[in-house]
Amino acid sequence: MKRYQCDVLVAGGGGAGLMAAYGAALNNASVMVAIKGRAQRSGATVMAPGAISAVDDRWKKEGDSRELHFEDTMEGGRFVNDRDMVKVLCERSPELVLELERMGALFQREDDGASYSLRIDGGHSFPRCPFLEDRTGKEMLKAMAGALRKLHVPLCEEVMVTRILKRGGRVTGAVGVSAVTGEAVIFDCSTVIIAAGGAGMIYENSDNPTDLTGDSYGLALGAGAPLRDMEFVQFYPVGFLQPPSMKGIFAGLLYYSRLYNAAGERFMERYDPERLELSTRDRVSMAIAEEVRQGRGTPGGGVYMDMTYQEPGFIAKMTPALHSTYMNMGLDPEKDRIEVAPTVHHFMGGMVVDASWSSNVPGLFGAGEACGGMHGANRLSQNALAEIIVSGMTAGESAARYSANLPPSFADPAEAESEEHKVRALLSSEAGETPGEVREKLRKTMGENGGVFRSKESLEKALAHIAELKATPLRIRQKDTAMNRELIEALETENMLKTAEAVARSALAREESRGAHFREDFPEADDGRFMKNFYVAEGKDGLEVYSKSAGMKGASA
Amino acid sequence: MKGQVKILRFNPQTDAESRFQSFEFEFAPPMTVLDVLNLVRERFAPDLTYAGCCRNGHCGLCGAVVNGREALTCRQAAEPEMEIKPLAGVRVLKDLLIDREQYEARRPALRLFLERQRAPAFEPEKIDMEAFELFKKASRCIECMCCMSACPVVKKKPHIFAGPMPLTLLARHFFDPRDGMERALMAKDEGVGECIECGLCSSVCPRNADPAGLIRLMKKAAAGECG
Repeated sequence: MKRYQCDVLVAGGGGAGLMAAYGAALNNASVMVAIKGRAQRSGATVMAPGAISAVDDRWKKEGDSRELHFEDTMEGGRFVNDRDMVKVLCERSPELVLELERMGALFQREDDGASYSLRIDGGHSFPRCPFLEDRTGKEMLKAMAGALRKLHVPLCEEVMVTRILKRGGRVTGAVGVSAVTGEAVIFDCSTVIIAAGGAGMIYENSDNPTDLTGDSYGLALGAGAPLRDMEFVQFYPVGFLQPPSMKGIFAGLLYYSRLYNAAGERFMERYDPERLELSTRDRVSMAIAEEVRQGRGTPGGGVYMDMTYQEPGFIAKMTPALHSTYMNMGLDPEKDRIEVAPTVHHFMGGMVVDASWSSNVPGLFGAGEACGGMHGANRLSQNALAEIIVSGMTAGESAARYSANLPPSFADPAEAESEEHKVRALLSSEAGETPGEVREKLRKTMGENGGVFRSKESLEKALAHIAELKATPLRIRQKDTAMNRELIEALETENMLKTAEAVARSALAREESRGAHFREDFPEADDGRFMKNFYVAEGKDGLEVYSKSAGMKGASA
Repeated sequence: MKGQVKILRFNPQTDAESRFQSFEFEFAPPMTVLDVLNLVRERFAPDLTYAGCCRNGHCGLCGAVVNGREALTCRQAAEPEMEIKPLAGVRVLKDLLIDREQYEARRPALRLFLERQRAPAFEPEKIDMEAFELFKKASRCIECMCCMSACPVVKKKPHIFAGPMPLTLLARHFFDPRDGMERALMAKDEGVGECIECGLCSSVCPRNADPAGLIRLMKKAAAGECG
């Protein structure tokens, strides 16, 4: 059993986790990062091709302002966002973009070498988002990982944090399992920042990397911190339909594409004639799902994404990584149309935190997609990379402040013993289904019953399936603990099931349609009943749902 | 159509040497090499070990030698007849999983972060766009180690020549116009002058980072400044 000591443990090593560690380190906490995978090689940030929303006098377009960024974000979230969090986002993001450059990043510039090139995407009033090629997330990670190494922040790689420990209501540490040895790892720390990302893997189609299995949400619920807004799952409108290993992978940028149904109609003209493909992601996703449902879909059950109208060389120049993906699959975006369907991209919901990214459990903080509130019912594109730096830095500062006056904390070693006991029990189980089999069933039911379209009937079906799967014992075929991927998958599967249940229960409670959440049986928004947020907490008999007013009345954009 | 894949397997807990194991699979394109590995693991060999996370060429974990050529398994189209081996020139932990620690150990000496004396007066600061282009190119590296497996010099001079991947990582900072470190001297110390310019590294690079081109430029600078 390995044992580490620090003030602040960051669970998760994507952009939000690394930024949180940076924030904590700058504020003089002793901090370490536990990463289920490896730094710069896991989590969602590494795949992010987008841009970072940030309005600043030094680069903004005439007429743009932080107030407008705030309003765009609230409107995108259909006004159930946490206003205080959104304010912090708009205020802090620009300075942190520059901080990333101080840490080593460089973002795209115009020919003068000094002005930022700015991108716009659905829901933003102005181009306001710095980027670099189609690998902005990777550039951010390079800068963050470099800065952390410069500060000698230990990165504890290939350790999955499985449980947060508390004594007297406060955090006293955490335990995890090494993916290399299968042994328990114990962290003595007074403070934990959950930054283990979202849960794309609970859906059949997702563009997330394979390690996003709801670990954040499982950890938060287990620690007694409630989740909010879990019904709001964002679908990115265009994911590949095949090959199998690439199912759901981000298939292109809507600002460089047009969408056609099988009948050759540019169908967005019917759904949002003004903004067309640049409408918000929820509308484009629903439009595609509706076209398929009406029988105007492609053979694979999607629509066609067309980039053939662009100048020769344009796609290769603007999106080199995507371009090589197309070419590898035998598709030439200058000639071929690409079959696409909506794919799960982002979880708006997550752990409840305030505008200092502190949860209601003393010593527990969160950052990034792990937390809910910022995006309300739907996230604007480019706000996730901004959220990463803002929530990460803020959580890191808050955690450092919290831990500063606390004596060193010690976890109970018996907790590690119980984690190893669990591993042994999993490995000795001969009956049941493999994690792969359980996941496949879960992903299918969530795709069919908890996806773009939902209803009371479909969600109850999903919940019944989830209950069945929860009752199914997991069977691991490889029996030793060294480099046992199925073992880690089994631990992840618990988080996936819990997350899926939180999504379905929240979606069932919201009897209206808002943002990314569309109920076929309640197709309209109902401000009278639902200007509120749904929360999920671990109760005595499983997950419990309750609601609170969103803290603002009406929609006055 | 039936496909046949031969995978080089090795389990340090039970095997004294590696051996090929063959599996049949349904060859149904579009299909990546990763699809085939996933199939084999799910159906026939639950303990088949290989790394990978993002399944789309970003995480750099899934490099292997497929039919004699280094590639990311997630971005390489499957073929009906395949031979898959772990990347060469590096210790194998199990099956296709390689030990990255020997290269991690070199990382601190490379100081892969921005080093500068003072902050710019104005932000965002003005950047030399020509240098920026080379910085961008080097920054495409995903550290998949395909180039390391292909490089003949690394195998011959493992201590004297750091290899194309560490040099590409160094190139990001070498070409960063803001950086104040003696990166040319560092490149010289990492053995940049040993490169024989065969270009194999660039030919297998899945992200077009062009290690060979970057190394050629650094080699000139290292020779000029420190040689």
